[in-house]
Amino acid sequence: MTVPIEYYVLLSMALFCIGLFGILTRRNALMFLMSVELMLNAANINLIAFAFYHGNLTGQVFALFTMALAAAEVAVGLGIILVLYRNFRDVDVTVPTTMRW
Amino acid sequence: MTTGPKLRLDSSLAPGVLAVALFVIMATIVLNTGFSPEMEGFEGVDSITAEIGYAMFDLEALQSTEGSIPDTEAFLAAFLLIAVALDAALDASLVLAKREEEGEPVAALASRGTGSDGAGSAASGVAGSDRSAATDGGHEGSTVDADRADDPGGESR
Amino acid sequence: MEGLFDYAPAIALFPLVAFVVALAFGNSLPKKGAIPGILATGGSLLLSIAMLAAVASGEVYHETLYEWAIGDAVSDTGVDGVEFTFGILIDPLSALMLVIVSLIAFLVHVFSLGYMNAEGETGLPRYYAGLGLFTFSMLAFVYADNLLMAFMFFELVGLCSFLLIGFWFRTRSAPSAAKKAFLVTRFGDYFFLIGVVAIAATFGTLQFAGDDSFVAAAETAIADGTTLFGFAPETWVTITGLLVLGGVVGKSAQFPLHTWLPDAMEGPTTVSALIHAATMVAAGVYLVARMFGYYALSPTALAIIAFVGGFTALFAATMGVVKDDIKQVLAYSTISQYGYMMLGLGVGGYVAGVFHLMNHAFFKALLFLGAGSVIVLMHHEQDMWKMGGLKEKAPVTYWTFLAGALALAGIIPFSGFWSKDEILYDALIVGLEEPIILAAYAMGLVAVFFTGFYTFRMVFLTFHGEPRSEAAEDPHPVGWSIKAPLIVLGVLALVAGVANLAPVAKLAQLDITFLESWLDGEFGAIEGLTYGAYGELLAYETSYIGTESTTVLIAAGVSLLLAFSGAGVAWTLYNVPEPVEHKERLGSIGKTVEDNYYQDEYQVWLAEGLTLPLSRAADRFDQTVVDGVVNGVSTASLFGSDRMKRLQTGIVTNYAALLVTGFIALLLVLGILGGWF
Repeated sequence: MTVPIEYYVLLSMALFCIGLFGILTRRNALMFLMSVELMLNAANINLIAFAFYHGNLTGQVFALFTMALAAAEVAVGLGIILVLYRNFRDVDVTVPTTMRW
Repeated sequence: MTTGPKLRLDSSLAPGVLAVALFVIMATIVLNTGFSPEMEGFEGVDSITAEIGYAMFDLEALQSTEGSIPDTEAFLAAFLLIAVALDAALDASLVLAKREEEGEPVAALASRGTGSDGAGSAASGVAGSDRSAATDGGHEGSTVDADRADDPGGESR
Repeated sequence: MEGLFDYAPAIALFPLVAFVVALAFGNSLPKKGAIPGILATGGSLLLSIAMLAAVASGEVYHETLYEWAIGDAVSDTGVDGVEFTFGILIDPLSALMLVIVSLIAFLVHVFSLGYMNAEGETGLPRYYAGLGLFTFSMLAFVYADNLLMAFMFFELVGLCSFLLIGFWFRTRSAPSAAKKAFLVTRFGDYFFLIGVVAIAATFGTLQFAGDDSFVAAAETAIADGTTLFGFAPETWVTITGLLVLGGVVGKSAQFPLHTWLPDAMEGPTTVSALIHAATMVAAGVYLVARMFGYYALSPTALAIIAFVGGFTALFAATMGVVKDDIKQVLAYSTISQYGYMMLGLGVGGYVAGVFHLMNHAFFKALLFLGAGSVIVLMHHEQDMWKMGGLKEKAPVTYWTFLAGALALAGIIPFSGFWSKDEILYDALIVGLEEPIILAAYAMGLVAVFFTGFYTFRMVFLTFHGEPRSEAAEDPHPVGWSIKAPLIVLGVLALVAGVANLAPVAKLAQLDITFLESWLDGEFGAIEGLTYGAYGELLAYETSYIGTESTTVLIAAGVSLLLAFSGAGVAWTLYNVPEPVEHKERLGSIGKTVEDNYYQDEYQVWLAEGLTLPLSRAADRFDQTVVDGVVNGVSTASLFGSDRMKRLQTGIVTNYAALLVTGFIALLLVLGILGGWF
C-alpha cells in the first residue's frame, strides 16, 4: 500500500506556496532565507517522490545535492544579511532600495 | 526595525494572495493530471542508501551486483563540483562577514589581539582587493563599524 | 629592345617622383622645383620615344603588374571572377599618346621657367608639384590596360586640374573656376563610374585588350545574342558605352558639360596649355579611342558621339567669335576642336580622330604657350582690344603663333588642315548614307568657317594694327625658355600633318598614310586593337560623290574654302590699323552668343532652381519625417522607459510578486491552450 504520487506533489506544492507566501508577505531577511529553504525542500520532496514513482535513483541523489547547495546558499545568504545589517542596522528588505535605477 | 518574528495581519499580507492563487492553479493541474496509480518503487533492492553511495562515487562494479539498481548515472563529477561550491560559499560567507575598521580589514573569525593567524591573514588578503565593495554602504555603515568595534566577530558566530 | 618594356612604369613614375620632390624640397631648390619637373618629364619623353621605337619595331607590351582585388562576378557572360588590376598596355595608340603627353608636359615645364619663375610667382613648389602629379596621372591613364585603372587616373587628372586651375587661390574667380571644373567633370564621371561598374558586372572583365577583354566579351555576346540584364546585347552595349561616354563628355568639355572649360582659364596659362593640349581634355577623347572597339559595336552610341561632336564643334566656335580675352577664344576653340575629334571618332574615323588629337595637342599647346608669351609681353593683360602691333616687337611669338593659328584654322599645308579635312571627309562619306551623320558633318563644316574667323580675328587683334595700349607699345621681353618651346611646337604644327597625308595619298595613289599604317598595326599591334579590326566591326556604309577622288577633292575644297573665307572676313574686319568691334551688328544674337547661349545660366538654374528646392524638400523630409520618426521612437521609448522603471522599486517582495504574477499568467495561458484543466 503506497501513497499515490498526487499527494506527494500536493504536499510539495503546499510547501512551495508556503515558502512563497513568506517571501511575498515578510520583510525580515531572515524570514526570506527560511522561506527559500522551504521552497527548496518542496523541490526535494518532488525529486524524491518522482524517483520513487519511476523507480530511478537519480532523483534521490539529486536531492542530496540540492541540500548541499542549500547549505551553500544559506552560508552566502547569511553573509549578505550580515552585511545588510551592518550597513543599514536593519534586516528589513524594504530598506535597501538604493540599487535600483 | 524588525527585530524578531511577529505576525502581522495588515495589508502587507495582500501579495500572499498570489501564493494562494498559485497553489490553487497548480493543485488543479496536478489533480487533472492522469498519473499512473502504480508507484514503481524499489522492489528487491537491498539498500537504497548503499545504492545512492555507489552512484555518487561511481562504484559501477558494486552497482551491477544482484539486488541493485542498474541504470543510475554516475555523479562523481557533480559531487566534486558541489564540494568546490560549498568551499566557495564558505569563503564567500567569510568575506561577507568580515568588517573593516578605519580601512583595516578585521578577520571575521579572529578574536581581538590574535588577528595574525592563518585564517585571518588569508581573509585579509581577500579583503584588500575587496575594500571598495565592502565600504559601499556609505558613511552610515562606517559609523556602525566604529560603534561596534568593541564587539568583533559578534555576528559571525 | 629586349627588356625595355620593363622600364615602362618609370614613364609615369618619373613625374610622380618630381611631384614628391617638388612638394617636399621645392622651397629649398633652385628654381623652386622646376628642375626636377623638367628632368622627370624629359626622362619620360626619352623613355616614351624609346617605347615608340620599340612598338615601331614590332613589339607590344601588355602586362598585368599588380592585382589588388579579385571578386566573384555574377556576370551574364559566364565569367567566374572579376579581377581588378593595375597593368600596362603599350600599343601604337598609347605609345603615340605617351610621346605627345610627355613632350607637351616637358615643353610646358620649360615654358614655366619663363612664365612662372621669371615673373616672380609665389607658391611655385605647389605649382610644380601639381604639374608633376598631373603629368603622372595622365601618363598612367594613357597606358592603363583596363577600364578601372583608367577611371582612377581619369579622376586623378580631374583632381590635378582642380589644384592647378585654382593655383591663384587668393583671387575670387580662380577657386570658383576650379570648383566648377571639378564639379562639372565629376558630374560626367559619375556616369563613367556607373558605366565601369556595369561593364564589370556584365562581362566580368575590364581589360581593354586581349581575348579576355570586355570588348571581345561584348562582341561574343552580340554574336551569340546573349541577353544582358534583360536587354538585347546591342542595347546593353550602347547603354554602358553611353554611360562611359558621360565621363568623356565631362572631361573633353563636350556639350552640355563644356561650361567648366572657359572658366578654367583662371589657371596659369601654362596649365591651360597642359590641360587643353595633352592631359585633361585629351583624356576624354583618348578614352573613346582606347575603347573604340567597344563603341564600334554600337552604331547608336557612335552616332550620338558624332552628333554631339559636330554640334559642339559649331556651338563652341560661334562663342569663340565674340570673346575679347585671348585665352577665352582659345578655350572655345579647344571645345570646338575636341568636338571635331568626337565627330571623327563617331563616324568611325579612328585614324582621323587620333590624328587630330595629335595635331591639336601640338598646335593648341603652341597657341596657349604663345598666348602665355603674349601675356608676358603685355604685362599680364589678356584683353585683345588692348593689344595690337606686337608683330614687329615679338617676331618669334608672332610667327609661331601664326603657325598655330593656321593649323587651327585648317589652312593647307599646316597640320590642322590634314586632320580636320580627314575627319570631315570621313564624316561626309558616312553622312551620304546616314542623315544624322550628314547633319553632324554640316555643323562641322560650318564650324570651319567660324574657326577661321575667330582664329584670325585673334591673330589680327593681337599682333597686327597699331598698339592700343602702353603695354603693347613697350612689351616686356621674353626669354629663351619661352621662345624655345614655341619654336619646337611651331615646327611641329607646320609639319605634323605629314604623318598622314590622306588626301594626297588617295589622289596620287601613294602609300604615305603613316599614321594609318601605324594604327593599323603594320609595325606591330595587339590583336583586335587596330584600325582594320575596328573597321570590320563598324556598321557604317559609305558612299562617294562620283569617285573617291572627286569626293576627296570636294571635301577638302569645301572645308578649305570655308576656312579661307572665315579668315578673309576676319582680314577685312580686323586687319586694319584701328580695328573696331563689330558685335553690335549681330544684335540680339550677338548678345546671346556673348552670354554663351546662357549655358551657365541654365545650369545654374538647374542647380539653384531645380536641384536646390528638391534638395531642400529632401532635407525637410529628412528633418521632419525621418528625424521625426527616429526622434519619436526615441522619445516614446524614453517616456515608456521612464514609466517602466517605476516598476523597479528596489523592494524584493515586489519583484517576487511580479515573478509570481507572470508565472501564474503563463500557467493559465499554457494550461488553457494545452487543456490542463
